[in-house]
Amino acid sequence: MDDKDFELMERYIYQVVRRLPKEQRDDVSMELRELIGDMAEEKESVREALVALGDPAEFAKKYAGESRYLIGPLYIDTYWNVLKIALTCTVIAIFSITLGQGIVERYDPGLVTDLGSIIGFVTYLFSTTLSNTMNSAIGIFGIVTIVFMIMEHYKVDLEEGKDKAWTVDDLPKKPSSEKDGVDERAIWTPERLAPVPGKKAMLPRGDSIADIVFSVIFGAILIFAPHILGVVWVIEDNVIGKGVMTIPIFNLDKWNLILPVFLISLLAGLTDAILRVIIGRYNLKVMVSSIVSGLIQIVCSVTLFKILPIWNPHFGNELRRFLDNEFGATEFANYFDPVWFSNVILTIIIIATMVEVGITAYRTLRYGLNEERSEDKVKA
Amino acid sequence: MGTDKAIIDSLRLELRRGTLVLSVLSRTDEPKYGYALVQSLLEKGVPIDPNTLYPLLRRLETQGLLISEWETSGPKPRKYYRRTELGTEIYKELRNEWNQMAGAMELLMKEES
Repeated sequence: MDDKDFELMERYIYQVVRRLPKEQRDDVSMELRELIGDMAEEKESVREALVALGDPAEFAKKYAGESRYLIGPLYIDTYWNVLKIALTCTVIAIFSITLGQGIVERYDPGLVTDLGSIIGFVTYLFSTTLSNTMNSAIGIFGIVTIVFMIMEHYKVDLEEGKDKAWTVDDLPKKPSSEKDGVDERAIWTPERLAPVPGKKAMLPRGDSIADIVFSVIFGAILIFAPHILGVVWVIEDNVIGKGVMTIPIFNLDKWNLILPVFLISLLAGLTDAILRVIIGRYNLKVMVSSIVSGLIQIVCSVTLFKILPIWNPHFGNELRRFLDNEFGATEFANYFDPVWFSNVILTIIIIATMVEVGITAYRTLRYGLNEERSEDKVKA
Repeated sequence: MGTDKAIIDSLRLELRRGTLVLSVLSRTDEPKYGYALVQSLLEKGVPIDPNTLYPLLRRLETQGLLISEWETSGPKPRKYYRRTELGTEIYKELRNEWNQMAGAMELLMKEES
């Protein structure tokens, strides 16, 4: 068996075992190496052996048994990963926001003196945060499960290989009258095997997960509690008592214009990050998704920071009025120039987005597309 | 007729499927590796596709009828399967079942012709 045959065999094995549960993969790989080796000796070529074994997807199905799945072995690992990330984000975001909101809205300095009202306050916090968190967690669980059920049902291929390698030539020949029983295996040929993705083509999962966590938490804050983004402090006043004051940095009067643009941008980034986690390697889909989401994010940012009145117009005045030059607030307010601030943020966003898209494009072109190149090698 | 052939093929497959476990159990009183099993069954006129046999062996192992062991001392690692005690017991049961069925079918078809 030469290198070419070995490569072909490894591709085949990879295509079978990637569809099997993790704990079976190593053992089945060894078993298949033994089998393909034996068959290749008898048939005198690895190619012939693989043709006789047929489409790896069909082979894998036999290993998996005839059982019907809601979410089968092909997706179950990804499903657990996505579910864990989505649930963690939701629980953390909803829990902290409801808790924060509850404290800000219901906190009253008077209640500290009375045990009954303390218990009432804590019970209120406990029940609202718990019920909100539970509700959102169940909702997210449902959404993720339904998405994966649909993927399982339609056997959505998360890897590039199949649909890319497919050409018109692969169309099954129409059975002619003499040869009615066209062997279905003829449609599948070993050349269509995609190579095992190289290390450098793998996407670091941690980065994408951090992206997802950030998007969800930031999104939740923007939706449920935009007023906490800004200057927050505790006041003690003889007339109005003790309380929490906030001066929002965003223009909440125009929030119904601003929020949707923010959300579109976050959603674009979130979709891209989820796709990265699911696919797990650089390829064309990831590159296109990265470019599209980058463009959407840049357009949204320009809209937000240059077109919409995003900043709270009274921010400076309120700072001066309420903070009375505590912590250098007045000086800060005097220096605070919204236009300059917008420009800085916008520049950072554009550069960061372009760097990210650039890295993805470079890695994809450099390592992610070697499928075609090594495919040629196998054919030659 | 293409459809007739397809029907016959699928019926033949179904008929054969039930006998596969019996065939495999009959050949595994001594340890055998997968492809040797394919060949020894073929010699006796029982062709079986490797892509059916290998998953089947695995299933029989999880059911406790076979036990496997990797033999790594040879030039390449081989996985040997042999019947367990439970496997032998079940093999005998199935063999009786088969003999009864074969007799009954024989009768049925003799009457018919």
